[in-house]
Amino acid sequence: MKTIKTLLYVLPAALLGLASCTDYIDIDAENTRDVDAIDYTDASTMHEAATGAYATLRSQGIHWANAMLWMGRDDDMSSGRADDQGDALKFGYPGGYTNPNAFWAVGNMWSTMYNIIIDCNSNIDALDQYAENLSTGSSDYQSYLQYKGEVRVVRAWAYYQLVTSFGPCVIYRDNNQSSFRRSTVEKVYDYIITEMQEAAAGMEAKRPNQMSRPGAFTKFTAEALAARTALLAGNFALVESLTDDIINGGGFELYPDYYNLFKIPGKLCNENLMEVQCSDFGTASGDYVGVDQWFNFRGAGLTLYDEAGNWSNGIGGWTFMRYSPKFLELMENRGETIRKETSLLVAGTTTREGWTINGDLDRTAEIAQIYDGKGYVPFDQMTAGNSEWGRNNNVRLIRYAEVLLMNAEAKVRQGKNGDAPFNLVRARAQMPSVNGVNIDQILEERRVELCAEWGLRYTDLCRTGQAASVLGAYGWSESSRYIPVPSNQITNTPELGEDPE
Amino acid sequence: MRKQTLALLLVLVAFPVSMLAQSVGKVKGRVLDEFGEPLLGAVVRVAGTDIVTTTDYDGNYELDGVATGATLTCSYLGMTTENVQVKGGTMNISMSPDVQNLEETIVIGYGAAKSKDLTSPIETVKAADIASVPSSSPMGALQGKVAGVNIVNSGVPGGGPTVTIRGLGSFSNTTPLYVVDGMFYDNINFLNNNDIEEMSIMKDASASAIYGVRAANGVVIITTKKGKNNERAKVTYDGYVGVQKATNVLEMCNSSQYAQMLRESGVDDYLPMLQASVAKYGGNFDQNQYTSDTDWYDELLRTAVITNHSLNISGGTDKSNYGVGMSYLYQNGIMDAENDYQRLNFRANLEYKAFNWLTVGMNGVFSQSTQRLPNNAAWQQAFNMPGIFPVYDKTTADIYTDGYASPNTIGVSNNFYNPVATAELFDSQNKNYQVMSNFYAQFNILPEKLNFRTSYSYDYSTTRATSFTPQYYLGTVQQTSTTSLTKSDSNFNNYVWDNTLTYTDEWGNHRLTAMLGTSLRQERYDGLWGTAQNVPEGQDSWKYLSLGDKEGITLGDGGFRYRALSYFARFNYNYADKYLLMITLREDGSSKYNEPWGFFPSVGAAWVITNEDFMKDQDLFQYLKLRASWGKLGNDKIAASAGYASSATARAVFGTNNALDGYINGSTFSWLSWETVNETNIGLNFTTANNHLTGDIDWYYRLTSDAVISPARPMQNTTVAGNWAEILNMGVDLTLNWNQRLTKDFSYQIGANLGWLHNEVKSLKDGIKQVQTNGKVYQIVGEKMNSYYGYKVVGIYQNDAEVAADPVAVANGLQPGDFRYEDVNGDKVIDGSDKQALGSYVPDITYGFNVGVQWKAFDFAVSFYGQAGGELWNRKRALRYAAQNYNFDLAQFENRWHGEGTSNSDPSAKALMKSWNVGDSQNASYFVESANYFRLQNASLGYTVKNIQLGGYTLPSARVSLSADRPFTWFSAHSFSPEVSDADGWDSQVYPLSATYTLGVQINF
Repeated sequence: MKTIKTLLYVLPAALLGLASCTDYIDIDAENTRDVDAIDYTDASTMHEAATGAYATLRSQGIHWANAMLWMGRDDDMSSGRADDQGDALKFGYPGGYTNPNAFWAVGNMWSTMYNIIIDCNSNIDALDQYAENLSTGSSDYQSYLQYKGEVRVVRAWAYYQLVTSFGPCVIYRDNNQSSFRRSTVEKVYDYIITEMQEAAAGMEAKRPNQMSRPGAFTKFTAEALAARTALLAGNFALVESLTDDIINGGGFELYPDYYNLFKIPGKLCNENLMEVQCSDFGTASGDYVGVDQWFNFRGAGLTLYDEAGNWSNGIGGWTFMRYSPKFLELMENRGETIRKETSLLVAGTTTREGWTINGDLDRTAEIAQIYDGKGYVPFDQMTAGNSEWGRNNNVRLIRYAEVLLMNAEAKVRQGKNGDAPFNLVRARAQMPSVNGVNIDQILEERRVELCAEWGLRYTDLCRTGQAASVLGAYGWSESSRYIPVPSNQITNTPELGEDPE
Repeated sequence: MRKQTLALLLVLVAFPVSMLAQSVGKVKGRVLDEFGEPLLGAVVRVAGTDIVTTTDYDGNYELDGVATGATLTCSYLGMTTENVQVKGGTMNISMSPDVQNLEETIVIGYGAAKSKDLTSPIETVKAADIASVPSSSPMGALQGKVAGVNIVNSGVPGGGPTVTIRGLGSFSNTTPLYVVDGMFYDNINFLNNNDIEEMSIMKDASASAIYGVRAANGVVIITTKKGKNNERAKVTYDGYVGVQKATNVLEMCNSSQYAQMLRESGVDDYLPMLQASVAKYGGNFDQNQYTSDTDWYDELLRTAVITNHSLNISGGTDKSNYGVGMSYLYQNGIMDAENDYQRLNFRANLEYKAFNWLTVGMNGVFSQSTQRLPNNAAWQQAFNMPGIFPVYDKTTADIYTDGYASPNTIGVSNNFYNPVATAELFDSQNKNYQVMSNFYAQFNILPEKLNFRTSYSYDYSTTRATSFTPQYYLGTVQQTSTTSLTKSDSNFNNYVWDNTLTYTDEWGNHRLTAMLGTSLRQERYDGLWGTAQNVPEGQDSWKYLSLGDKEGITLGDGGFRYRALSYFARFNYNYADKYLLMITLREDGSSKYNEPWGFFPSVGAAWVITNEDFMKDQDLFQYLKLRASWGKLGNDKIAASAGYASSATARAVFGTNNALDGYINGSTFSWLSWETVNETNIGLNFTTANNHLTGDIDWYYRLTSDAVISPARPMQNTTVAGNWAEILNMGVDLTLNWNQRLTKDFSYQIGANLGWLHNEVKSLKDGIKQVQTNGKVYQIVGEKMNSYYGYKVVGIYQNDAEVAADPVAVANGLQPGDFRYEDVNGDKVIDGSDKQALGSYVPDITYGFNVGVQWKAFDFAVSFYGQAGGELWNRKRALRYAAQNYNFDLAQFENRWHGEGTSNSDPSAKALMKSWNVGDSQNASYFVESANYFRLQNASLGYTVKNIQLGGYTLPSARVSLSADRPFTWFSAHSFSPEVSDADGWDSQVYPLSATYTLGVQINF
């Protein structure tokens, strides 16, 4: 009995005391990896930091809502629907240029672009940490310069989209920067050009499809992006030298089949300078590295009828992004054939594969039922078993055709002859060649060749001073050239509202 | 609620000294209530001995071996315990009701206390209050019963309610802690109403601080049904069958009203849709008549069955007690598709007094349920889809799956779906298995004074979810080209090990209880899931990932493990039943945080004014107690602190069918701690009007500091969480109960409760004025939590002159019938800076009242519940931004502006087609509607028969009842009910609540 009594006193003391072992709660979190766990002395993992930049470009940059604000600002294309995302029409033809800063897609574009910039800043930091363990001149160091260049290209691309959409924007040089004061447009242009020239110096002089990682960005990608920006800045000599370098050194060529250039066969062809790559790995379901709704967003309804005229198959998309009837007219007046067929899916007509393009309900006659054919992948090019619009296709960001046209323009602007590069583009489109090409012809060629590609028509109108005369009828004025800073950003970061410096 | 109380009180009856207390013999008699009615099951014990019995149907008892002069203690639920000294062989004992419930034992966490010793508001709910309410989760039955506890029910079969106690004090998690027999839970949906003996709801800091870092959202302690020592075996059956029916079904435009709206809008492009309907299904376009006039809600709804059966057996001897029970619940869904819930529970407990110094015991609940889920998307689609096309169309049966009509037949594709097909072509279910167990041993070191208790609770639960999408084609949009199967297995392994040492003593006017304890806790989750395509259709037995395509199977897994270690102490001190003091201290350590340790103290005091000498001569108050408490609480149901930047894996494609893995380094990380709540409570509890009226009134001030919020990082849409914000909840809880028994056959009760709440976001991060959460609602400094944010409609432009006079209208090309928005900054431009907070779903006031009447064998009870001051977001209407030719509800048609002076609040048909009015980024206040409602919560009529002779067997009692649960609700919102299960008050894909009519039977064998 006495032992029991002793036990009765000892046991509680022991059990209450037992818990005083604080090791019990010192356990690791499950299912996460620490940044510090990356071994920066192991150069073989260096490419992973570059790969991350491609991933953020694909997942953040190629967002369907961004397309409305990038490509819907000119008079050739609108976001296409008034019944859904109707506010998107207020940034261009035909809905006017009131540019409401509370529209969610405005905030979305701003933040997706800065997500890219911040992710790239982080990964450049990571690459620099690898570099601390590398000797200058070693092959690993060369790889470091190449990888870092790729990440800088991704980052510069985001700045290009920002400066053309919002005008003045914040140059966020590193992730600890506390100032959110916007920089002037000119400073952003300079920043992009300098960045790309610095990056190009360390990058391989190959076509992307010659790289060991096929499609990785090269020196020429950086130069093309710099040239695009220099065009905006009006530095035509620079445009010419950059594009000359690409033309002379890259071995690029126009893909002969304009129709298939934008489809599966044209993926990573010799015309590609910058492409966001997607893959379904050959299976209709399961693993897919893609661009979310980017293609589906602009997909039109297509129906296949059998010989008896009965329904046989159908695919559909969201039917956004549509051309104006005026643009169809331009194509027809110019006698465009392959470019018209490729770019414009006109409701009621039939594709060369035999699928009828459905009409859809829409609001106003101004929004025609002319859908974007550059996002179209024919059913027989799709991986069997899948019918999602554009799945498995790549997104073309910069093509050699644009480089040629920039080269032509730069030459003509400087009083030189631009016929050679210009006529290469014409020839591929089965159009007769032109002698002594002038600026207006080049701009119209750009308008037709590069339609629905990154809003180049809008920046062309703005940089050439034609915007007021062409877009004024729809409410455009100099003050509505840029989209205002999104209201959700200004609310919590008032510094963004201050004048740029 | 505290009416039916088991209480103990000793009353000494004078015994003539001349009769020496030596003889031992039999004592018998009857136990009667204050009207001389016999009491069944009263416990009569010879004080200080193990001689005990219970009374029979006539209130008779008989005890043997009773010494004269001994004291008999007689106790009965809801009656004041009587102590009588044995004077002779026949002792009739008369009992009186315990109106004040002062002797009621209340579970307070790691122990129990008498109601009269409490320094804080703890509300208890007994088995009888919830057993007969037809709810799948016990918490659902509490709606309207407890002041300060807000319960929002879900209509989904088996869907648990959302419960908040004293407002919303966290952006992350506002769920109270549920402690079931010592085990911690986030909800108690696995329990049957009949599994529960009692619930204690700890509302203030003084009561809940003993749970430290888990206590900030309030604590609900649940005790499952147990046997009692010295109780004859009791067998009880409790069951009901009933039907559920949707109430307040929202009225939509019929086909011709819909067509009239489209025509009035002047948008000719939609007319082909109407012509297509006429061409395909009949009607007359010119006369605006349509043969197809589908009422989609009618097609989606049905009357559904609910039934519950419970059987309990319990009893006990001197040394042991036991309880065994089972229950079965089946609830069919009111959506006319496969969706239902069934749950089978088994429960057992056993306690044995092995030695006089050791009591051991265990209890366990095994719960098994299957929930077949509805596809709630169908509810929104039914709102959107006009009646101009039918559910089925035989003529297109060879194109479209199962003969459903396709929206394509009337020329629409995007955003339009056949809602019935959506509901039926859906196959998703969760199978849940849960085992809760608890083992304990109590060492009585010094009998009645010092004991040590060790208790280990373990819970294992697993949910197997299966979701199958069949292959179907209903048009270019509503289609899936391959079947797809997703399966997931979620396993939770949690344990709690508590050790407590409790010392109780009293001397003179002093009474003291001191408790010291430790607790160890682990929560572990492991999940595994996978998706495969092309899994064959047809049989449930084919639903295996391995029967699908081998290529393209995606798999994932996840898991977490958190541990916590706690030390705690509690001191209760009572001086002469006048001055009460309670102090609790808890030190919590949690593996979730980089700085793991936190200290949570609380103090509560009370003054029983009626026990003061100067109150002796008044008869206004029979009881009056003033309480005050302060305490600090924690909320660790927030994300674990990252503590370091993490590196996310990322993939990019390089070339044909080739992807490389890479990473994106995070540039920031969270450094988090728990949220803390400081709460002050001042309360008064009283009994007046000759013991008929009891009341509790409490004022509280709860300030959450270090509330975790995740503002978007500047420039980005990514967020980083931090302990940055402050949230205030201040309010008053009031409970009043009037109780009177007029004759032996007639008694009645009237009860009322009211909770008033002021909820406010006091601060966010420095410089941050607002944060959007869930992509739906905003947290704005100075406003209620979860505010809607947008443009405030101040009227409708009535004529061209008004339009021309307003620069805003001119700039945006507006017309009469469009909204006029408030130009907050007066700059004649409507832009993002003119948005404002437009209301929140958090109600200011919740209230309930009830009346109960008992007359002879009949009992009748009716209760009402209501809330006021909250708003909901009519997302059903607001979704019009996605497609302007969606259907309209009838009120939109009837109230529309259609000419000068016809409306200054509802837009014209044309305006409903413009993004100025209905755009996704406008968030016009037109879509914010009052969520006020008032409801007849429950009405029931019961008839009880006692002592039914069945041959040689006497059935003690049986009760038959009819009840109507939530039969009528009054409100103004354009909704099935303003009680929407979405926590942010978004009324979109909300499963409607139903009225339930039941027939119930309760039999005591």
